[in-house]
Amino acid sequence: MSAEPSDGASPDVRAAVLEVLQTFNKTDVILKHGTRFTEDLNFDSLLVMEFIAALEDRLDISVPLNVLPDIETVGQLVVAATEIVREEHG
Amino acid sequence: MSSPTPTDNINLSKRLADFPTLPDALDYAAQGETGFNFYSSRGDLEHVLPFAKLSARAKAAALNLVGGGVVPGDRVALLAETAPAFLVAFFACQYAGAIPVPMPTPVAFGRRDAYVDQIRNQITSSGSRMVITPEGFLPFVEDATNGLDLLLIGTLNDLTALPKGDSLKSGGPDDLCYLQYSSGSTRFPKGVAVSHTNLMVNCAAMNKAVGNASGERAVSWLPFYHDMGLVGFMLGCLTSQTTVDYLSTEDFARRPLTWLRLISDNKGTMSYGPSFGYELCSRRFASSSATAPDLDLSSWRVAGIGGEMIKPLVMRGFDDVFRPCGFSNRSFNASYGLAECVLGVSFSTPGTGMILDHISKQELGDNHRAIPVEDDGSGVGRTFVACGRIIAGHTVEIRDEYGRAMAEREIGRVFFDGPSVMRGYYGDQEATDACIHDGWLDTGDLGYFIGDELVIVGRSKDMMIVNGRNYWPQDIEWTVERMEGMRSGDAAAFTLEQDDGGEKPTILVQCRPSAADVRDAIAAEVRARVQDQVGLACDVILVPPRTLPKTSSGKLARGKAKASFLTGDLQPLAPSA
Repeated sequence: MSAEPSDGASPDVRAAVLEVLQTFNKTDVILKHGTRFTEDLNFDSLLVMEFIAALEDRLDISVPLNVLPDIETVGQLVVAATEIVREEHG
Repeated sequence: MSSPTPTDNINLSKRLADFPTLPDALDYAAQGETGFNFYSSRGDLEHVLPFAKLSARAKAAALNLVGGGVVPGDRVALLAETAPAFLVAFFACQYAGAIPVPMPTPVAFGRRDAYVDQIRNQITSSGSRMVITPEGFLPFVEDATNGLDLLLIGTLNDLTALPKGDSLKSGGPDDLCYLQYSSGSTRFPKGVAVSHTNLMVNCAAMNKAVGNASGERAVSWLPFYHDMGLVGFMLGCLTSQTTVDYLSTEDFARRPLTWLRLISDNKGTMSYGPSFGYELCSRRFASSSATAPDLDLSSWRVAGIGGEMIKPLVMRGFDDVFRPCGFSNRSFNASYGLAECVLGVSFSTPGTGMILDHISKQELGDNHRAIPVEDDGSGVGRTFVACGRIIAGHTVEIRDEYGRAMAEREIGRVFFDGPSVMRGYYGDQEATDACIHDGWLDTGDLGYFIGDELVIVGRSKDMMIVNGRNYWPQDIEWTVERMEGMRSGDAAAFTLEQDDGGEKPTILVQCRPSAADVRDAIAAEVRARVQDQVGLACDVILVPPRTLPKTSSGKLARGKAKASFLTGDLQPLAPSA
């Protein structure tokens, strides 16, 4: 994850997302900021929800459904999850 | 926190959908204590909506619909989240004589544009005058309605802030009750139009078929924008004053075992799902650290299976895992239905479990006959699950390609006749005429009878069902044809049936370039584009130019393309090294 944009994402959240995501990654794609869930990782809607559940458990957050359509890459998810963590845990 | 609504009413006798209209059914249910309960993904009770409260809130909001300019017969689109607000808006439409149009919520990463397109197509196809949505989805709805002239785009709170009208005029038995868009592609949507009489007849027949009586309690995670969720576990339960405990579909997908937890805690007796819902539970339990699930599923009398081809091995797997919790495989209840018949067409007799029929693949393919063979693991046979007997007051006929009725164990198209047949596809006489002839609905499915048990072997119409979601080949082909270098008629999408009852989505694509690396890039690009636009991972198979068969009118002959591919008459381009 080199040359990351300064998007205000928390390094802890980034590490947690990557850790959980790696357990769901059935491809040999190396996870990067710009890795796309559907095109690169072949995530279908069932796998998305399973992954979200695992991420919610890991970060103790609740991810609302309406954030999903605007998230296409790992980096976007890290930013969104960071915001949720800040909202829910201060 | 308050407690959930009770399983039985104290002083109100159970009536099974014998009402003239849906508002009459809710007025009756409102005299009792039963109703709808909403749970979180962790199984905590979040909202309680007794039918009495639903009726009162819906009547109040109905006056706002009238005050906002909605007149009887107007369509009102509703984003169908599993929450009280959707139900209040749905029944406000009923009391105001308006026609609610449930629309889907987004479920996947990305694909914002595809989702916005989908709901825009449903809003314009139905000619909806208002769109009611939860606040969180408002940005999508605003994009989807850009440039449309609507009376209101907003939340239920925005609706109830409108001035109140003077009076309500709900629909009569022959008026339309709702539109259902689970049938039809996203690009070319078809709204199933159902009257109050259609609905009541089907709900009454379904409730009798599954033996709904005092002491019955339903549990559901099925979405309200799908017929099994909307009719089976909302309207069918409301018209029989049956309490339902809801878990939202997305919460079920996150934590499927919460479904079983609700059945266990609330002593649920009736709950349905497609095969993959059961599979998700066994899979999630297997990946959890628990050794024995701490559940009591002995109350679960009707474990319904429907909505896609039933996979016997998946059901056996579920039974193996959850039998120690008191689950009985005699509770499995295979059924068959479609939105064009409101919902239910056939149901197994409760308490009998699944009836399997193992038949010769060769006879199935060559002679359209269902000839039983020994299930010896040799692969010469395929197992099908009998979907029960036809609901009372209705008839199913199996017909050959010339429209002649066929005998027992002969495989043909399934035709359905009776008062549940929809009024038609909304505003689409051509599509309606294409599937209803002399009152008989051509279901588009293929099946046969064993005695009075209906067995479904596949669909002759084109819909693809993968993990319980419907996909339309037209949408996939349209996506491919719009890619650079592609033309209309260059793609044919269908599913290939697998021996386990599953289906593999496949696209044949005509490819002009001959260089291997260019071909590989095209195949990869098609796959990625379809995944992005349609949300489905497909096998992409390249075929030579001008090999996909066409009909006499020049349209793609999709069924023939699939058949030619299976027989080897249509050869794929040799794969690159």
